[in-house]
Amino acid sequence: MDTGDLLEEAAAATARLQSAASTTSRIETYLKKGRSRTFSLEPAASVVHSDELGWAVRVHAEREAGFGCGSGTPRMPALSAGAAPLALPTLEETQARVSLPPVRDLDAPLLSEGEGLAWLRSVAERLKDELPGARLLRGVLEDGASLGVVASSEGVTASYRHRVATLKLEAVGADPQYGGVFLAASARSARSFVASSVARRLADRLAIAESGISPEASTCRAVLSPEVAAAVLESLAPIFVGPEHWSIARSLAGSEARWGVSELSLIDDPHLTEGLLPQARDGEGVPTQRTVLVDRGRLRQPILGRGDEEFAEVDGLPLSGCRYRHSYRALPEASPSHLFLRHERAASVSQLVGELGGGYYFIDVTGPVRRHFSEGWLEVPVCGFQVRGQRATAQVRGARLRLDLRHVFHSILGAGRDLRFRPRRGCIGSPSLLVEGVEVAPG
Amino acid sequence: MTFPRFEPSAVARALGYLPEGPGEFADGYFETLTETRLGEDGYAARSRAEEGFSLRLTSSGSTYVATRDSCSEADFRSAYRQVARTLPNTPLVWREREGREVGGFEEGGLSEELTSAPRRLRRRLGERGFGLRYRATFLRHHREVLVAASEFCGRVQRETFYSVELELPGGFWGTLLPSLGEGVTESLADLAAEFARYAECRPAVVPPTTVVLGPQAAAVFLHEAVAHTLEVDTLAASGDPRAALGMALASPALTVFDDPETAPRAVRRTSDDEGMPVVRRCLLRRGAVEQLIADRFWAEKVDGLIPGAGRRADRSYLPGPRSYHLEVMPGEESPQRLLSSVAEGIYVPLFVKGQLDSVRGTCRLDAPGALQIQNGEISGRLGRCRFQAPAADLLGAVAEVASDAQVTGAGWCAKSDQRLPVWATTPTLLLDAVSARPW
Repeated sequence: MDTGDLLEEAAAATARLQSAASTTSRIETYLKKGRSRTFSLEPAASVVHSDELGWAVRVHAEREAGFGCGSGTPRMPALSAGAAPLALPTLEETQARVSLPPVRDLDAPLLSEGEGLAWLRSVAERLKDELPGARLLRGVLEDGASLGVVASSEGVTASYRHRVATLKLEAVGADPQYGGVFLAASARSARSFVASSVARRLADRLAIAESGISPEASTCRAVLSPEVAAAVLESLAPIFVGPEHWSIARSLAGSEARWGVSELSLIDDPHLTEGLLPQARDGEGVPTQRTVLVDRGRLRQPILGRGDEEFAEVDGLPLSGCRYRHSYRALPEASPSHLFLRHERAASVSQLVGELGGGYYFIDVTGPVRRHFSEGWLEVPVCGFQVRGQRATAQVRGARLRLDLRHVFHSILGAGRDLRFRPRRGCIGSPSLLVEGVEVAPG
Repeated sequence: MTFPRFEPSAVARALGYLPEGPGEFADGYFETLTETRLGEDGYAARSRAEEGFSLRLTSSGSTYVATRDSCSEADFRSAYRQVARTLPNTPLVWREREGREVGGFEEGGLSEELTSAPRRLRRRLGERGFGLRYRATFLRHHREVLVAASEFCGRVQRETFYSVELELPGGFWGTLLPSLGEGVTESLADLAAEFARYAECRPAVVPPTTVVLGPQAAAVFLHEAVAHTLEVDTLAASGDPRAALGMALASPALTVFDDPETAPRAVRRTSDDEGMPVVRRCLLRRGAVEQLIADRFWAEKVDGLIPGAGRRADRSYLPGPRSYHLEVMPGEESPQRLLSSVAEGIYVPLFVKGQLDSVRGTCRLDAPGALQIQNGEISGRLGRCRFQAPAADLLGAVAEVASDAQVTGAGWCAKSDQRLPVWATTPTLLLDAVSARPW
């Protein structure tokens, strides 16, 4: 089915539901068709072929509103009186023309049964080669593509095409007392996952869990891998979405609104074609646009969308479509699209490690991030390597990285060219970062 | 939108052509799901209504599955071809029943019981002098499942229950409820008010002491330490699962069953999500492992295991061996008598989170707080504390089991990305010499 057919189907469903409802009801129908293949090895080799057919309907009437979702044919949701309105966008709000540069891999075929299982087996084999005694406890690889459309009684229409592959692995070393390690990754296409590097990453994590040392408390330089840096950014993301928590960002930035070094920018770019989920319009059909939140170190604005007009007007800030659907089962929600850090002095990761002198190269996050905005700090449990004179001198586990949010972005000395995203509620990404003055502690 | 009016025996016949040898089987899992969500913060009602099915063929040690989000003959044919992995030369027989539905979407999700619950909770909290801000979300869940396999046709299984999510000062707490009656809102208000009081207390270091777990906390503890430990896929990750049989895992005070047929009436099951009849499974008899939790795949693979505990969150997941309703044999002492026997210790009414590290066998239980006990009397409160120890150590520490077995939701169990409701009938437990630290 192509976009036009699905749009017609959505428009017909909207008309059908509206004729059954009161004439004052405003109705929006979202339809999604998807196809995916999921491969796993444990407890047996398995392949799941899924054909997804989801819908979501929002109804906004004079005194009641409701949201319904499901599979199969769209139906009228239960409405509740006195509910806060689920205001739908008007045609005017969505009329601006916006186009997206061509996105690679959208039409590439999904992995075949043979390819998917062989890829997972290859990771399992390579892991054994990298670290004798290590084995995969669980491996799940999913490759999927979807087409979504929105049509509303206001005349709003929009369409979305996505292609995402996800990987979830759990491995254990020869001695289970050190516990298992997890690895999750996402890419546009499953074919871009490289079995050897995935196996090496798992082996590194297992080796660190088995023979790593606990670090001594110190303040030093560190290179944070994209996974660690993105986890930091992810825990800060709420203060950059909407006006609600913007005062926190302001207080952390201080009276001169300096968020970080002058080479550093924080950007939300829905049009980033090398990102995971580029889209020209948000989940309500409102045109999206690139928003610079921190511009060369200076704090500029949060992500602002429909409903934030009053806040935006005061400083003349631009609005953008930013209410995304993270599933057809969820209401559109204000969130980042591709939120990422950019540093103007990009170098290779080996150069960054070379510039460390003495310090740590933290490669992964080993637990939940703790944050305390009012006190201005954030703690990340990490693992990695101790580095002396460009050489890894020890593996480090059970480390706690404590970052002072008023200073950490002023202490970024450089960044890698390895921008990677973590899909959460929106995609959060960062390149590797070389940071000085970070507090490292055991625990 | 209706549940398909198909003939299950015709589906079973069609699936009967797929297995080619011993140990191979094929099944079709058909489901409808409805969920109604109601917040009390002025947010609109949200509802979810899904239907779909999944066909599975287990052949030569591999499993092939095809899932669809609608139920028509065309969907069935395309899914059948996908699992057969060839164009079958056998004509498919999909016969739709006339005028008789084999299950279906249940209407009336916004029932009085659901819509009045936020108001009733507010009133009950008010009666307890609770004046703090909170946010409550109530959900009603209904699911109908039918399994037709290459050798049998199952019967429709129905589950209806509620879940509550509360954002309170001090954190988030959720629970499952088989009904939302007046008594339930009462006890919910008691627990919520107690939970909020913990927010004012400092997180606590608890040196080894006597710990009394209320029925709700005991349900979470036993789900993690007994049910997850004895799921055959967990055991198989570290060797032959049969090695666990006969092992003294817990104190002799504990006898624990897993029995979906004695679960609360609204969620009672006679067959699992693979259509296999459920059994009353004695997991622990006087502390020793007697049976394991197994699904059809593992029962075919490992001699001596009994299927009937295969569960799946929905059609898009593969079934796995999971507990459904744990039942603990109650003791003879009343909980009051048990508490009064404690010279020094703590009482934990609930856990907000439990987790089993299946590789290390370590159990982690997070309590929002606890009550201090001195000479059998409540003497104060502690803030957040975490119990983390090998599951076998915690189970071995159970010294007494009270007589007050209560039906409770053990919460949403998340394993291998599947989120499943789990139930328990558990009494108050007394554990000796257990320690905790702040979280």
